Amino acid sequence: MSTLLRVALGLLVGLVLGTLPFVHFRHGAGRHDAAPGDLHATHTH
Amino acid sequence: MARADRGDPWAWALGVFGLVNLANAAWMLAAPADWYARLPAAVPDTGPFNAHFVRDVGSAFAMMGAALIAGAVWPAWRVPALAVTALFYVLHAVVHVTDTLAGRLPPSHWVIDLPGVYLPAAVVVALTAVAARTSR
Repeated sequence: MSTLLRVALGLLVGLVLGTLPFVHFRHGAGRHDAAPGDLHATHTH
Repeated sequence: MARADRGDPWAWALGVFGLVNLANAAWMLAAPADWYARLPAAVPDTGPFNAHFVRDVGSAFAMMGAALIAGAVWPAWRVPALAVTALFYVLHAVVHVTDTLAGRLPPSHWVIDLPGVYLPAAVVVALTAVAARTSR
């Protein structure tokens, strides 16, 4: 494998793994959708 | 201590993953309210905002980011850095599983937490196993 390909593979793995938690992946809302500034959202059982 | 080769894919993967962990840590430490409201993971479902606790968790992300970058630069650090990161990610995933099973998080979190909690934990565990095997 060429050096460029190995570097690209490493970058891809790091980027995908690192950015997964920031992926917007919501098809159903939770109990509460917080708006910016709405800092005291609580459970609404 | 020997440094990683520039063409070493492990160095790039750990370096980028470490930087993203550090960026998340910086966000949590510098602007916890913004992180709480804007992270696309329905964080408010877990309970009311607490700046101190967000910064506590941000400290853990800072530690993992620093360890991963050390693993990127020095191959001898690679497996220990990945192992402690995997430990955090797995424990974090267990907390989400137990909270969702117990009803402390709504069932929608099975899907919401898939990309940000469960998948990263599985991938980091797999990477740790591969790194440990190849480092022998």
